[in-house]
Amino acid sequence: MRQLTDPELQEIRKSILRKEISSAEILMEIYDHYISHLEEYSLSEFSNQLFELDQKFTYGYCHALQANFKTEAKKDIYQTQWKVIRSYFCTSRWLFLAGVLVIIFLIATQSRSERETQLLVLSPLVLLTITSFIFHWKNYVKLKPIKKAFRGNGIPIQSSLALPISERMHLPVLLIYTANFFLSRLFELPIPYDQIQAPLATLLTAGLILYFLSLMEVWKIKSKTAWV
Amino acid sequence: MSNNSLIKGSLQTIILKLLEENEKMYGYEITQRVKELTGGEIKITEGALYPALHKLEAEGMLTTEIQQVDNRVRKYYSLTQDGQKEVSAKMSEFQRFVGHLQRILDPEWKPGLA
Repeated sequence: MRQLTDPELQEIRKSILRKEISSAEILMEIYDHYISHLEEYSLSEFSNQLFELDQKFTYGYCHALQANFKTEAKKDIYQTQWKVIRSYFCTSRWLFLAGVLVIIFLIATQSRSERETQLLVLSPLVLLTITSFIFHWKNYVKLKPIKKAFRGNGIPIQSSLALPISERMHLPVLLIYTANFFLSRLFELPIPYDQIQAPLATLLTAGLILYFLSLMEVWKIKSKTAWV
Repeated sequence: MSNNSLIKGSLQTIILKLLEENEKMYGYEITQRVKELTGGEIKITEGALYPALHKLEAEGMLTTEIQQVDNRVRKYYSLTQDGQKEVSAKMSEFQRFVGHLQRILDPEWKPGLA
């Protein structure tokens, strides 16, 4: 086994760039495979071995691998979040759920005006927005070396696992306008504030907080094992 | 040895078994270990290996870990608890299959007689 030279590494990167892979996970797995394989061969065999690898990791194969990985990543994030949400209702974590709900309902009972209740509903969305910024920043820092190494093919490199998490963070924030529309209608209705509006707003807040917490847990779980 | 079609059905079992014996492994290491164990007779192609690894990961049999190695990132695979249970199930299923195959190929053959 030998250490590959910089021009050789450059050659490998050029070869992989031609496959136009956008998934950081697939890109790095293939890159590692190429290097691990080529390190076993002498300088004179390098070109032939690189050519052989290119015959195995064809454009079509890499894209099929990437497409499958992206689909599975989406499914994985959905299933993990659903599992986390379900776990809140299990015996081992019911105390956590009860604690969160008690805090939300306590805050809700303190709000005396419609404006305060609206702010209560808005708070999880603000939390999601802030977290989304932190998530994107961390992801940007993690991907920076890869983007630097593989720049030049014009294909944006993204983490396939980070994308579905990011989409899930954006979802409620994107729905803010819709929520705002319905909430403003709700508060305009000639229905008693204390009896219907406030409990509905509290339930919505509780739902959004649980959604936010579950997403944070998914991020925590995935950051241990994947590139997010 | 042209054995691609023979390996196809047993690739998952091979991966799970290797990961049971080795705490964690990366893609290239798996191909090399199989080559080493079989004296080069069985070669796992990259075309089959990565889809199989990703499938097992998606099914919750494997978990991954990212590690910085030199100037690159390496993805290690290891067995989850479900994966560990699956190894024994797959192994006994595979051994039963090999036994049946042996009986078909050699009707005189009796289990225990090597």
